[in-house]
Amino acid sequence: MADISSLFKTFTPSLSSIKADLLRANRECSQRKLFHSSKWAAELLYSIEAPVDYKQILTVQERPDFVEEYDKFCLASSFFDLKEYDRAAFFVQDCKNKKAYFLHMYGRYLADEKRKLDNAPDSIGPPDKLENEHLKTLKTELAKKYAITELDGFCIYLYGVVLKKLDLLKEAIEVFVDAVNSEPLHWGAWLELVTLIKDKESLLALSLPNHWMKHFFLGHIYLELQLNEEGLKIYQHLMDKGFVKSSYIVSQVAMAYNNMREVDMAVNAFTELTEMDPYRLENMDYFSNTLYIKEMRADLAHLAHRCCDIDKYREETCVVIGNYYSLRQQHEKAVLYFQRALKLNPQYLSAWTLMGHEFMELKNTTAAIQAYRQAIEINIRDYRAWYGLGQTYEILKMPFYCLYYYRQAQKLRPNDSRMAMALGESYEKLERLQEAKKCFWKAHVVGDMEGMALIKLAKLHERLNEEDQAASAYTEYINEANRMGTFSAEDQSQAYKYLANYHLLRNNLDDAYAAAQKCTEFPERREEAKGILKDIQNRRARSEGAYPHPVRMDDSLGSICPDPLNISTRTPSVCLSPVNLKFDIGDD
Amino acid sequence: MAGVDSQTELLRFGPVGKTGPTHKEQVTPHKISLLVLIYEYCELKKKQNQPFIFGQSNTLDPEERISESEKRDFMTLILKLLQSPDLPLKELLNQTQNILKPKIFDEFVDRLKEFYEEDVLPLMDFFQELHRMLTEPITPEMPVISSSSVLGLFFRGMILVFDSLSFSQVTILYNQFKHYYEEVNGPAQIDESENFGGSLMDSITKETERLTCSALGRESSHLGGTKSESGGYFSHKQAEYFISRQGFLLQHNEKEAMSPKELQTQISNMLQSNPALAEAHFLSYMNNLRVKEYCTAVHNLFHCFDRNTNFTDVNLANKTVEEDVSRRYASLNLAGLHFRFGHKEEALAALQEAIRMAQETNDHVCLQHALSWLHRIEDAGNARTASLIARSVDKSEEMSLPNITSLSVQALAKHNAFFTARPSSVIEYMLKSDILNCQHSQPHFMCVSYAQKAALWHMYGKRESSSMCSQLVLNLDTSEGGIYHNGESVCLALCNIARIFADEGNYVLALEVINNAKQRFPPQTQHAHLWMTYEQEIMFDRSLLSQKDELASQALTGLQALDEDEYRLRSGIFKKEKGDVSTALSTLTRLKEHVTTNSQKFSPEFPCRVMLALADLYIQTGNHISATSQILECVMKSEEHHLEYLHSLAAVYLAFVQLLMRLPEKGLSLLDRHMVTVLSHGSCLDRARTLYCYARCTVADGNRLSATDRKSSLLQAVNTMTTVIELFKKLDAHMRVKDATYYLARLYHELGYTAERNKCAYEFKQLDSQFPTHSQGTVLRL
Repeated sequence: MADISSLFKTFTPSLSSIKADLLRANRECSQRKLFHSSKWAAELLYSIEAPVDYKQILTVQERPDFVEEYDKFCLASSFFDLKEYDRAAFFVQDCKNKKAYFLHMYGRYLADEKRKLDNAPDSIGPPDKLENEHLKTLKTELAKKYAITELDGFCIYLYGVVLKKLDLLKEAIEVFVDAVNSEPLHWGAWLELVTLIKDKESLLALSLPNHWMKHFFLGHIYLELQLNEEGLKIYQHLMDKGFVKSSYIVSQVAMAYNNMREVDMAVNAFTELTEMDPYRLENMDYFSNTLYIKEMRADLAHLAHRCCDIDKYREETCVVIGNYYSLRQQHEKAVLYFQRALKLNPQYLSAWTLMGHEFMELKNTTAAIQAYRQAIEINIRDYRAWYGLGQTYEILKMPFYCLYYYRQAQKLRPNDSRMAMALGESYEKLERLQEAKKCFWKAHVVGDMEGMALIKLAKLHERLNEEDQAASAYTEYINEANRMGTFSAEDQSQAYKYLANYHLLRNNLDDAYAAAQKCTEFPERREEAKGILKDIQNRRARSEGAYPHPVRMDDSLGSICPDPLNISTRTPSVCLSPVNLKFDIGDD
Repeated sequence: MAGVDSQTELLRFGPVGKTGPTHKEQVTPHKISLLVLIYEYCELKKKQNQPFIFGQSNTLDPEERISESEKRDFMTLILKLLQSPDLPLKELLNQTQNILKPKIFDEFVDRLKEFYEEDVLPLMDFFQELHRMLTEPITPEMPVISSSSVLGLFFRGMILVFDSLSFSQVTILYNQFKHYYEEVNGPAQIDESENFGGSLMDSITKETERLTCSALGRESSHLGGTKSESGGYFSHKQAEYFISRQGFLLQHNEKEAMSPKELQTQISNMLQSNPALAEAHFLSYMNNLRVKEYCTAVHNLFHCFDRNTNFTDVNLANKTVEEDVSRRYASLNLAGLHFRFGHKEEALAALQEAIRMAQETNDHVCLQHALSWLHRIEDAGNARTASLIARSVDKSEEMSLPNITSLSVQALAKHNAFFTARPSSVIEYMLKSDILNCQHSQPHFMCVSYAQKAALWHMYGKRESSSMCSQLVLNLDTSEGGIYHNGESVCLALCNIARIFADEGNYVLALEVINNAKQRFPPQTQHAHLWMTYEQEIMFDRSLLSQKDELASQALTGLQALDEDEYRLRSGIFKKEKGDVSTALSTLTRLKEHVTTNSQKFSPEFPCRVMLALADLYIQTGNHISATSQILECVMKSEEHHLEYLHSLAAVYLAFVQLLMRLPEKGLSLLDRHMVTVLSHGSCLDRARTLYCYARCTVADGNRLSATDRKSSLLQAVNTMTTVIELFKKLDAHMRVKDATYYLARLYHELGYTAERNKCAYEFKQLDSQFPTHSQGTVLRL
């Protein structure tokens, strides 16, 4: 999977056939009450603009055994729609055809899940041993049939779901792979697979069907594994192929930008998404995050209002509103909304972390620690919570103690400069400069986001009297700053000052002069810079005086020609760009 | 401040979706069983307590009479059950069957069956009945269960919790009970092996088959889980009791505590039902410390202190103070953790953090703790550390923290002992610690104190006192709640005694003592390395004397892993004995350099021993001058540190050198002065060597005497030599026995006692055939 472009060579089917596939998938899924998958298929097929012979596809020949038991199926289906799963399962229990069998098993599964959820608030005492009894019976029945390959793709999927619920993850992966192989159009099975694959290696090890659905799966899983560039590439390609109008793809693209912290791009994508699908709530929590980062108060307010109007009892809505309050500095209320989001979905991880942030704002460190810990307990790989804990302890002035948390965070996000920076700063506080140096260097290498790594590194080198490294770090910092257009008077002036002194010591008078000149641009350092300039002049005079050229061809010129002018022609850094040159002439 | 108020509510809201405050107690099927047990017992007892009425035949069935011992057994059983985690019914039946009267047992089983068969009604009635039983005593003076007793509290707690259950919760409870009951006598479970087609995957999944809740499954599959059998449910109270008990055992007597693996299983079990229990993480931390598992220990420690906040506290101002305290101690504990794993700098950094925070808030108690850690972590042996310890002693006494005072006093005594204080003052100072320990009855510190005294006496060379102190450690009554203290000091005392036996050539007894230590401190526990070291040392010494080179080198390898320095010294000696002089010399000189440069790390005794080993080597190679300089250095050092025994031993070496340099009369006078010490405190080997040297000096000195005097001195030497041979024989030191026998034969020859001479020669011959001399090493040795 190293080369994505090679992957698309297999992307052959025409849009019309895809659309026909999707139509069929939608019908199959909705017959089996797999609502999310059928929704997904419908959404996608809606976005495809290609001619399809609806009439031919819609008239399908049902299998005779299905038709025979159609009355029972109908009854069960109606009960199913009314969410009376037990009843639905009961009436199709003797049916022989595959669809009815699926409905039967699925009904039993859902009935049990619903009961479990309903009982959750009542739960007392020990973790209930009976809780999974039903799942186990389902598993045994399905396993029996699975072993003799009597299950169709959907039932295999159901078997996988049961396995996953029982935490038999390894088996579940195998079963889901089997399911997508026998029913590649069922998006739900792919999606379950996404949640089970934890790294690229295991992804590569899967034997997946060579179906066009695979591309959607790959895109999704790359995003999930934080391989955002690859994911984006796939989506770009899909869009080129004619899926431009799919809200699913747009939302995924937006999520990718969001993951990559390309805030502007993400905002654009999200805005596009809301225009395409104004009543959509999914992903809106991430949209609100990006808006929060951009501090777009008005937009966020608007979004919050809209979400609240659509459905106020959705966790996404609560997070959006929480973010809005947080941006308004009304942290108590923000906490309240995050809390509500958690009530709606206790497994909603980012709400715990966000709540931790809010408690930090409220200066309630203990509550913040608790919230972060809770987040970690749900998902030990949540680097934001680890980072948050580190920050909390740092604020409590425990730099050594917070090292542990930063280390954890850094371990989880080895390529995130923020973690390395935090670690480096803590080390610096503990006077463990060698470690700090390594951290800052690492932060710089992995792509420094705040632009602070180099200057910190340079200052450290300066402190450790490692002059050459310090000078090169300062130089690099200046180059970087010029390139990025960032500006920090304090740091830049210091860099120039150091460089001037450094070059002066080494008698690189030209470089020293250039740096000192730059330095004079900063009011607070002007006097020092002038001192250095004077020094340079003196040295020049001296060294010129000391030149073993007793006879100068043109004596008068030397004395007449003012020194600065003389230098300016020689200084390489003041070589004029063509634009400036033109301007000069024009000015003349 | 609406948000702030709701925080407490908010954070109690667990990740599993449980709402509302969690009770400290819960009704579980196991608890129902216990209630039934107690209830049936009370019912039976009620019959007995019925007032005696005339005319009515009050003949109680012997079945129904409860004797006092039965009462006692029942009560202890119930107490144990109340405090332990929930058991499966089968286990409970096993435990109760033998203790209960058959009558009660039958009633008990019947009632459970009734519950099982007749749905929720009898269960709910039962609780009402319990309620009635508490409120209506049969006679006002003597209720069946007094409501403030342990059982009464248990009853009341259970009734209260049961009353607060909604009907749907009661049905859940009932379903749990049904399952609990079915595990023993219910309908057979679906036998899965029959149902399976027998595919590969089934066999994989079957192991995890019995696991129920998904998260639970994950937990115990890590631990190789036989969870469903062993696991019990902990209510908050049960968990607290469990933690305090195991924590105490871990500190007091590790052997009595659960095995590390088992304990870890129980802890994860406990966290399953009480995820917010910070103390459980701490127990896990302690458990990891004892198996030296660094990573998990760190995780647990941090987790514990992150969680360690009490949200039920209403008083906000009070709360912040408490949090600060917890944070300080978090840092302090972190320092301790790093120190235990030998990360000195890390430990110091953590400690400094703790100190800074404690200073900011003027927390003197915490500062004292930090101070005592500080002098522990800082390099021992400089003046700064000494002043730190002294300050710690004064301050902690002032603030009445007896354990810190006691520890600091001991540390200071050790410091002084290493730094040439007079022994009397050191031992007297130790008395201060003893008084404190006695006043505050701290058995742990008492043991440490005696062990330290034993070590001090050993260092000064007073063998008997050392032995006595070690025995005192073992004889102290340190029991707390029936559990004897079993810590490092006990292990040390055992080892010390073993060594004393070994020194006397009593190897069987020595190994017996070591075996005892082995049992008390199984190999994977914290202090096991102590007895391991001693075992290897004793093995080495023994095999070296009896010339079993194989065994000796094996012991050396074993020692290398345990104690690097002892290994180096002994490997030097080993090479010397094998005649590999140049390697021995380089090893020993390097070791000596190492010791002198890092003198703070060693007790003063060690360099002296190195010097003597070096001197021995020089003597062996005939380099008397160098030997003398080593010996003199050793004499100086041992005198400075009041190491009486080593001083005398060095003097013996010196006398031997003088003998070799043909100055026997000087040697004799030196021996006369120092022999008493060696003979009274020395090991078997040292005594024999000294006597041998003395005999040789006497003989050599006799040359200048008149014939009669010479003869008497020769006879005296003969006497001495018989003792020497006996001692050497005791040690299995065959080479030395041979050597001494030869010398004795020569003496007899000199005296003209042919028969005796021949006897000795014969003995020598026999020994020589048994233990032929291999090494080229000279006989020139002490």
